[in-house]
Amino acid sequence: MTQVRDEKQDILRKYLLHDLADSEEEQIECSLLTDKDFSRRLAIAQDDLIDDFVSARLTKHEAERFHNHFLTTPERVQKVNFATALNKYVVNKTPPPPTKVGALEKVLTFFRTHPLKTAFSMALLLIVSASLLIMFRTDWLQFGQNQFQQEFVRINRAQESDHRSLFELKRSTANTLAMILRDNLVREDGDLREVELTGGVTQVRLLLEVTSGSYDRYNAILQKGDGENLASVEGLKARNDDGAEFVIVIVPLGFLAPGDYQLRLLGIDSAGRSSDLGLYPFQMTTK
Amino acid sequence: MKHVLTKSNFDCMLEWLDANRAKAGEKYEVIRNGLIDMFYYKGCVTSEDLADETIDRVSRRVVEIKDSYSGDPTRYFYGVGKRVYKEYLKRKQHEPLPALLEATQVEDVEQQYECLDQCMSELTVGNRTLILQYYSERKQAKINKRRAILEMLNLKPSALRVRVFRIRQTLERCVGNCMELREES
Repeated sequence: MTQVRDEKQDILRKYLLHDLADSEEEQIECSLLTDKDFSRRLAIAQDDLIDDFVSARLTKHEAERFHNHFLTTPERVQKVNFATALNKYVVNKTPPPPTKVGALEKVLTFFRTHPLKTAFSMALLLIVSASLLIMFRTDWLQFGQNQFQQEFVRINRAQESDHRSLFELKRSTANTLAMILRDNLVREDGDLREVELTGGVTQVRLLLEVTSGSYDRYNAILQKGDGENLASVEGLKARNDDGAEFVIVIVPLGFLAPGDYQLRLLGIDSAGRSSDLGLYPFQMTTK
Repeated sequence: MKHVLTKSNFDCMLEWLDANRAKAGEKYEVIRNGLIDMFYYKGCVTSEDLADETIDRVSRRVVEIKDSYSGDPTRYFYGVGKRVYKEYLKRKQHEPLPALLEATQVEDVEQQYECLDQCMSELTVGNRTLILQYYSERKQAKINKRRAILEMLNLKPSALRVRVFRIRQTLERCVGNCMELREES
C-alpha cells in the first residue's frame, strides 16, 4: 500500500526514477528477462508512483526525477492524465465521511487541550482508532451494500425483457454461470449446490424450481448463509418449461465473497397475499 | 529498422535457449516481453522495435557463440540489449529535442474523466466499489480503509494490489478506446 512501502517497493520506485546504481539496475532488468511476474510488480509500482505524483506525495528529489527522468514519453503523460482523472473521479463519487467523525474530532481536541496522564491518553487514542477503523469498515459495507442492491434490482429487471427459451437460459456462457436450484425441502441430498467462480464469470443465473402452487409474481431475497439479508427484488414472473415452473434470479458477482448463501422465495397471489416458498441454498467457491 | 530474423537463425536460437522446444518457446516469450519492458522503463518510445533489434542481433551471432558461451543465455540477450540502448541514446542526441512534456493537460484530463465515468459503469458493482474505496481517502484514513478492505475480502495485501491493478488496467484500456473513438468522431 502506498504509505507503507517496503524496501523492495522502494527499489522498484528508484528504478522507475532512474535513481539506482548500475549493479542494482542490472539486477532488476535481468529479473524482467527471466521472471514473467516481475513485469506486473513493476507496473504496480509505476501506478503507485504516478498516483503519488498526482496527489503531491513525492519528495522534492523524487518529483525532480519524475519530471526529468520518468515523464519522457507521451504514453507516460497519458498515464499521468488517467491517474489525475481517476483521482478526481474518486473524490467526486465517494460519499463524504459520516458526521460522527466530527464528533470524534471534538473529543480528540478536548483531550489535546486538557492534558491527562500519558497512559490514559494513549488508551483513549487506541479506543478512538479502533472506533474509526470500525466506522470506515461500516461505511464501506453500507456503500457497497447500497450499490449491490441497486445492481441486483437493475439486473433482474433487465432480464424480464430476455425472451430466450428456458433451454437457452439453462446454459452457461463465458460470463454467466447458469444453475438450477431446488428449495431445501425438495432436495434429497444434504449438500449445498456449489457455484464455482472462475475467471470471466461476472454473474450467476439461478433458476429456482417452484413446486408449491402458481402465483401471480414472486419476490426474491438474497441472504447470507446465516440469514442476513443482502438484497431483494420484487415482482418477478415465473416461466414454464414442460410442466416445471422456474423463477429466474440473477446474482451479480464481484461484491460477494466466497461462502454460503441462500435465496428466499415468496409467492404473491392475485390478492397481494404473500407465501413463503422456502429457501434455495448455494455455496460460492473459488478455484 | 530492418529485421532479418531467418527461420534457421530463430530455430538455432530456440535450441540454444532450451533443448525442449516448448520450454524454449516459453523462455523466448519471457525474454522478448522482458526486453520490451526494459526499453519501455528506460524511457524509449520504440521499445518493441528495440527488443526485436536485440533479438535479431542475438540470432545472427548464436551459431558462432552457442558452443563456446557458458552461463545463462538470458545474460547474453541482456548485454546485447544494453548495447542497443546505448546506440538508441546516441541516435536520440542527434534528433531535435521534443517539446516539453507537461504532466497534466487539463483538456485531456477532462475528456478522460468523461470516458472514465462511462467505463466505470461497465465494471461489475463489486469491482466499482472496490476501486472507489481503494483509492479514496488520504494519509492514515487511506491506510485504515485499505486494512478494512483486506479484512472484508479476506485477502493478503499483495493479492489486493494485484486485484486493483487488474481493474485499473481494464479501466485504462476502456478509457484509451473511448478516447480513440472520440478522436475519430
